[in-house]
Amino acid sequence: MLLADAGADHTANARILPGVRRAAWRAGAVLPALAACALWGWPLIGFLVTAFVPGLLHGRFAPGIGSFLQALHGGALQALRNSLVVALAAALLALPVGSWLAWLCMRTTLAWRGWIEPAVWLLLVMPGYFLASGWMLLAAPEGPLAHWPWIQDLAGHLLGPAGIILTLAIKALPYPFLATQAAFLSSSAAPLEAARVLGLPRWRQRQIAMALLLPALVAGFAAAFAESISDFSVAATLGAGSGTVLATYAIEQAVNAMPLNFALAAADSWLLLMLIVPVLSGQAWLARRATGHRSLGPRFRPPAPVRPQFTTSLMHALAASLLAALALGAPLVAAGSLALAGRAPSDLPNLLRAVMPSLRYSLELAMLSASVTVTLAWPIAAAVARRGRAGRLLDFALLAVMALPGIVLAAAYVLAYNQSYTPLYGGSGLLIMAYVALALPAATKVIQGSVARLHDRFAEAARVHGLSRLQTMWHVELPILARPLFSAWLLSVLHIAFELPASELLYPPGHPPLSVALLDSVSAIRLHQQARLQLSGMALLVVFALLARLVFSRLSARQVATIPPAVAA
Amino acid sequence: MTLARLCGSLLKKYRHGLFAVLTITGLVAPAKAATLTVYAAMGYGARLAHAFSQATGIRVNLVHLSTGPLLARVQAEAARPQWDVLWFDGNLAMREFAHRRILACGWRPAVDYLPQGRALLPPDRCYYPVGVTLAGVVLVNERRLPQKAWPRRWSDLLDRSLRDKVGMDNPAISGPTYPFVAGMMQHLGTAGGKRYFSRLKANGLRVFPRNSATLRALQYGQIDVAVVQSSAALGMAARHPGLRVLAPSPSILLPSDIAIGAGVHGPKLRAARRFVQYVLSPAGQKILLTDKATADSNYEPLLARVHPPAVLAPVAGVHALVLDPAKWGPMEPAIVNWFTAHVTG
Repeated sequence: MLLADAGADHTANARILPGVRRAAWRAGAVLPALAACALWGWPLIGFLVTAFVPGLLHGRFAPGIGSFLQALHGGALQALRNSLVVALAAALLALPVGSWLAWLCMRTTLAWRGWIEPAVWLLLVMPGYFLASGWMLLAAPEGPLAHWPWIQDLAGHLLGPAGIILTLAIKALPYPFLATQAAFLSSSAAPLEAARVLGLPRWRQRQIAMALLLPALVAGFAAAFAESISDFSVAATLGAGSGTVLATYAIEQAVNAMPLNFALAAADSWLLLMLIVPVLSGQAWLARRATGHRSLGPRFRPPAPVRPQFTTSLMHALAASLLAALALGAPLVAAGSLALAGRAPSDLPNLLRAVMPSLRYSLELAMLSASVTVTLAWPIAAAVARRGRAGRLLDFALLAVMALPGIVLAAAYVLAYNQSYTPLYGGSGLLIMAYVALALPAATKVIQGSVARLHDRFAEAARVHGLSRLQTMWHVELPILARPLFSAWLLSVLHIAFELPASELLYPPGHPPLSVALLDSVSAIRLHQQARLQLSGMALLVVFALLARLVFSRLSARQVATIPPAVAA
Repeated sequence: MTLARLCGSLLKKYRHGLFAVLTITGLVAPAKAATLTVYAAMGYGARLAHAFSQATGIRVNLVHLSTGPLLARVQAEAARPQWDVLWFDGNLAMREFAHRRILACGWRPAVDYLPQGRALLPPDRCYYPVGVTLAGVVLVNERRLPQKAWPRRWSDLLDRSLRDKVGMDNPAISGPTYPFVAGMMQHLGTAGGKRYFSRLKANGLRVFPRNSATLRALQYGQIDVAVVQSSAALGMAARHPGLRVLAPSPSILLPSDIAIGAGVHGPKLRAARRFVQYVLSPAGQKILLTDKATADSNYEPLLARVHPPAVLAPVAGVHALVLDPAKWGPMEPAIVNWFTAHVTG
């Protein structure tokens, strides 16, 4: 019925000139390529080539490796070394903790295990600088620990390399969690039962269990390492504040200081990518060869859940509580105590007036960018789902962009879009482009599964009823994909509203987004404003997410109600 | 119909709407209106801009950035400056911008400079000194460092008792720090200056991005001695008891300068000149010197009949070196790169 209604437009379609339709089809093929070129191709190639040919985009051809020599010397090399060490340490710390949480969540009968997954997702969405900023507020002389100097001294250690590693490990923890969670979900009980039946010693059984989890552990480690080494927010807060320069911060400073040095930034970016790419490639290689670990099949049986004894349960609960307090509780309590210090409730309007411009600007840009992101992600996901060489290539390109540190893309945008023929630098439009470029891969991944599950018969039936491709997408696919598209949109809004590296380098003068305003408060030692921005930013975005979900539920319920019974049947 | 013709006809038909959409979303940089855009690294800029607008009716779009990011923005926008007036600490960077011909030169505001102000006014009249601070003074945490260990000379910072306890800003990021580094090189000779900073590094010098980060490290007890700009040090000491400002000799004079963009013409040029004139007027100076919300007010004025604030007492009478911007301005990239390679890491 729905298809038939939509098909009534067929006569109107027939009136469209064939030439226009042909042109639209050609545009449909050309526009995505142009968009990919504008979002990633042109800026990244132009920027990375600058490492070998400094000044190329300014019309000077003087090839050389001077920028690499500079990047491999003194402070720049030290920054790279610092990044490598803290990322390795953070990933090594995140791996056992994330796997332990996944084991608690998937393999035990603990009553509170249902809370683990939402908490891990909260960590995933929460920007790193909220954690870092929380530590800074906790250790502040007028912070909540002011009455307990010895604890404050202890908290002061969090402002150095130890705090950087801890914060990065907490931020990277969701990656090993998600990787091992999936492995627990799909691993069969058979190998371990066989080991028990054969009477293998306990250590050997554990070894087999670990071997079964190996691909997931490697994937979790690689993702945690890539996330930690690409991080900019912790580098710009705890790193910069403690004098521990990390590579991402060095890249930002090369293009945000005097003198500007794009060639050095590009060389630093190459070296950073050379640290990330082998780890991710190695993980991908191992995953391809891990056929021996395939256990999902007709005889798949999940292992029986573990019922820990009371004392073991208590220890797990204590350890998980400590982790939650460290990761979520302490930064929030610190921010809360400083945000409200010396303020009467009547000050709330003034407080909001101070933080609203940045919040509003961030939210506006986030909604606009997320809408563009999801609009582009849908056809890209469809193209990836079609398989074939083009689909695989696109999928690889998306993964490559996901692994790209945000600061590298932002630095590339400064160079590429500040030429006389690309005068976009300094406007909100360029910031939106950067947000889209950074959010698009993840948004595509979110909807990819749902798009791939769409049966081809929908499209065939729509074609039989005379619907064009666009009409099929609008009338048939959109109602089915509404929920994953909304999830991708909401995730993009939250990610973009908190985004730091591109915001820091590309924001229009005089209009700092939320993350930049927070960073400014951090560097200007305006602790109360920093705390207020942090709390109000989080509160506003939580309220926004809840409202958006509510509106979506209402709208989707109404949509279902209006579907004629024949179609619903 | 070809794609090009289709696009052409669509663009022609909807060009006004498209332009409006692009402008609203910022995809094209907005055209400059009558509003004066001022890039300033001075904390009192907003208060002054408000007073100027009230006095003249000219609207000011004040963009406040730290000196380092501000200089980076100005360099990045060199081909298409989006500012009309530029205002920050440091005549070396101003000289470099004048050299690159992005400043309007030749005009001189009708103000009564003191001899020191006249000496700092460049012959080509490309920028105008507003006041002076010292590029590097020492701020000591009295509660953590015994008085006998206080560094009263620059060489005292090399003492083993101060190992891992001294912090300073990164000259690549903090605008006022390059003049300090350059000043030490003028004082000790380039090779001697490099040797001095290398020895500081060997003694555990901690390099932070900018004044605020260095001061926070001092406040949090990560370091006990901070080498920062005098205005920031005096402001911090006034707010936090237990901090002492010391001014080892020689100090390096750091003028704050204001300039107009080379591309500013017509009514906007007249408005920009009125703004500069207002900053240097007694009314403007009163606003700058009495803004308690910012440490930038702790500067020594260069104009007749404008009195320095009492807070400058700890740094009064110190022997101050004056750097030649024509010499040290062009050397900035090389010296900063050396510092990054040998001291920052």
